[in-house]
Amino acid sequence: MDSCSDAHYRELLAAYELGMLDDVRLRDLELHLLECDVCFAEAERFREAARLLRKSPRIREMVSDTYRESGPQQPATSSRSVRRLVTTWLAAAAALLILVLRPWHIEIHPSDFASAAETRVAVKPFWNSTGQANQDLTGRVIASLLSADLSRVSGLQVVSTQRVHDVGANLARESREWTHNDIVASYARLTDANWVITGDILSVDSGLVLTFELSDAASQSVVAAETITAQRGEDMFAVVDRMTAQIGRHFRKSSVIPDRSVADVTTHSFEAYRNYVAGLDNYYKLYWSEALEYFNRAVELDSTFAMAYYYLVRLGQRDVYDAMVRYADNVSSPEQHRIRSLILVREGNRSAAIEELRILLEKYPDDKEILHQIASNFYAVEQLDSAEVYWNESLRLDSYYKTALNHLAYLYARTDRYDQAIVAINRYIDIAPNEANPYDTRAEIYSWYGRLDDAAASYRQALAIKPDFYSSLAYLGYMSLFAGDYVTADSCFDVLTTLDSDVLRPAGRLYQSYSPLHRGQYALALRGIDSAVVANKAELAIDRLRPLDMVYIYVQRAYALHEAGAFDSAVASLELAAQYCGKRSIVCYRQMMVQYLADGGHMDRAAVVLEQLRADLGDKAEQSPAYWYAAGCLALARGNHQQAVDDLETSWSLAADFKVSYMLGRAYLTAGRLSRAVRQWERTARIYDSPRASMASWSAKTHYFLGRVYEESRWYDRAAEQYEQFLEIFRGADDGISEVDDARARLDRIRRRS
Amino acid sequence: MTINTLHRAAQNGDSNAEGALFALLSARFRYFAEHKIESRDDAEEIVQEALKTILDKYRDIEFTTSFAAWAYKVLDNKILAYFRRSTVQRERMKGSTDADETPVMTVEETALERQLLECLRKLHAANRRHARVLNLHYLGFTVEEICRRVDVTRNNLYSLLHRARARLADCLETGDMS
Repeated sequence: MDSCSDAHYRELLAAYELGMLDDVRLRDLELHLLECDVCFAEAERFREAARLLRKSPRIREMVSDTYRESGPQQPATSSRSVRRLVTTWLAAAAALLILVLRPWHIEIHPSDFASAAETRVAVKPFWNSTGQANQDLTGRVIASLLSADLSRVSGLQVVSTQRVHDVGANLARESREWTHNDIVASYARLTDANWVITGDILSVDSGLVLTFELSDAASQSVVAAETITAQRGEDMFAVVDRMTAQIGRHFRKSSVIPDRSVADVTTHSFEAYRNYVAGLDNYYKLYWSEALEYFNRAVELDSTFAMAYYYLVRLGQRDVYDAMVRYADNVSSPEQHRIRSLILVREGNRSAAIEELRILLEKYPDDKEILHQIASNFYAVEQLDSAEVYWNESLRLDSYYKTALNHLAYLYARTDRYDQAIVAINRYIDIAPNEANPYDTRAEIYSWYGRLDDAAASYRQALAIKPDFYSSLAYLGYMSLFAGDYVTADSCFDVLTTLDSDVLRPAGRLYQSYSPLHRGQYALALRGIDSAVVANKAELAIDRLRPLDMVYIYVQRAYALHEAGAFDSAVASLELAAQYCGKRSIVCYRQMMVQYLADGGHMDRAAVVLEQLRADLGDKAEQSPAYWYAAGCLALARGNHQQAVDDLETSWSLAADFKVSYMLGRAYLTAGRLSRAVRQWERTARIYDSPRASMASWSAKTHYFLGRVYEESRWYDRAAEQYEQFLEIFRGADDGISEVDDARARLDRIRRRS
Repeated sequence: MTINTLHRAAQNGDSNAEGALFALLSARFRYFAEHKIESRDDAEEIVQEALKTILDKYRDIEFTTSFAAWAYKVLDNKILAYFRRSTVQRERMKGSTDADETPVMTVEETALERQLLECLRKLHAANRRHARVLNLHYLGFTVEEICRRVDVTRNNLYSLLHRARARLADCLETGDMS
């Protein structure tokens, strides 16, 4: 019998069959299987068995049972006491959480989220008994430091400060008198802790004096209470280290107490830490600008404070990224996972980032923020089922978690679960009726489903709450544009041009071209765009404009010129745009250059630009929607319809955006692929987003092309309706637009027919 | 003959070679597509689309690398397009007929499944590590995480799976575990 010369591939086959190969090895193996008859025969031999191993629920169940029988191998239960084991199983039974991940039908049991430790401690913020209101925050600072320090003691699991914060916020909603026992019982119940640490700050200014009590949640009795007075030369960090040592020794004589001070893994500046905790408070409340302010103050006080940098980066302040990386060693081990996950996201390695976060989750299984981050990473790589599971899990921990509700609403809308999307977002609105963001989200979801009036109303609600919520203002403009309400659209865009923001002002000028373009008034649009170019240049000269905004305005000018039939001028405008493209922008609108050159009859030049684009993109060309869009447009202009369909389908598969949808619809139509053309044009007509607003004349012409495909399908009523809509929008259009003449002729024919 | 040899012969007008080439591609592509796509009908459609693209183009392309790599890329792109189509937001058509939920597995236990269950029991009685790896995989842990938990390198994990597969295949053929 023949044999394969490379045994390496044979070794990979089992992992391949189970779906356990990474992309690179998978591709490598499949290429080998394509060429090697021996290995392919071996794969074929086991094909059905492998399919069963992957998919049979009975096999999964049997494997799970087998593994469960081998109990000693399960690290999660092996080290627990019998009492804790029983408690865990009872908790698990009560939670009844079995989440099913599609499409792999993965079951996640509670223990996968929360491998409960034998000793789980919650540290409640210390009570301020100094009589000084300015020391309220100090209580949270001490609790936070103590939590950070205790989390380094071996054998202890510490409830995350984020979870403690949520529990405190929920308990504060209950207006009642709290006894010490009530507090211990409530914190223990809500955090699944079996020990609760409470404390009081008695004095700060005249020497730090505080007390702490360690309470057993089961008996609600205080098992240890101490008064700690700072010795001469001892700061807050040293006092916390002392508390940590005492508490650690109480649990186990063998507990390993960290030899480094908590200051070494946080900051040596108490003021910096105070600001950090205040930043966290605001961060948890989603008050981003306030949080930014506190975190920035923290790093001003201690320029080596890695975790403050971490939150600044998370809040979008990218200029401190290098500082975060530089000081990443100055944090505790769990926090290092947080930082590493962020670095991995930045490097584009989402799966590794998820792994870091899952390790962190083992340490803090009830930290909804970690669950949210894992979900966000799954969402970013289109693993929507997994993202949904993690966001739902975070909501199980905190049913008021607005961030998760917001994301879930988008996720449901994307996966065609409109009703669930609206339920989720309305729940967010119930929780935060005075915030603008949930109304903005709801409006966007309405727009995805073509409910333009509802979308506009919801954007208005967002703006009523927060008039400077400018994304809502811009989108209200788009919705008004699509609905033909140009007065409202223009007024929204005009407001943007008056703002003191160097980003929004040029955006407003750009948007001012949308209304005339939507109505086919290209000359008017071009006059406005030329004025915007002049204004932009003036601001660029005094450093009040990003070069990127010059790119945008020249690209918009090119689009308007192309629509007006001035193809060469359109190309010249794109060349001007290219002067402002940064080095990082490889494509720099060259897909439009290829399209406009081809439409102007310069096929050879278009081919040269396309080839250069391919060369510049290198390996990335195959996965570049821009490249395939350009190739498809060139093929279409050359009359190579099948090639155009193939290339534009590839582009569409890589990035489902309005412009690609529009051109793919045209390619289907010219290739005579009628059923696909109908479907594609119906899709195009349902896209209501900002790219459609920017290509406003195409937005209107979508009705014309939809009319064409309906007419060819002999759906004359529908066709007439679309032609009428198009002609109504283009009522005041420039002369000589071929689609207008054609739509009129076609409509006449249909009317005569009936 | 290898796939690239068949391709060259087909490109030179050998119709027998062309038939053999597409028979080979069909079998391989079907295997790859069914590995990645739940629905066999969808997988078949993707395979047919890919084969059609190759048939339309292969005679006219001057291959600077290998035909096999190009053909594989065609299939890969079709599968990628399929997944994008299935998930991207534009597929929100109300009442769309595309959104078919394919059952994971037929309800009835087949003879092969019974046999496989029996062989797995025998294997896992002797090799609990394989049971653990499989269980972690079913629970959704990544390979990195599984390696970390089981404390093996990635290559060792692949070897472990390979050996287990060989024993399972043997058991399925002979009914006994060597």
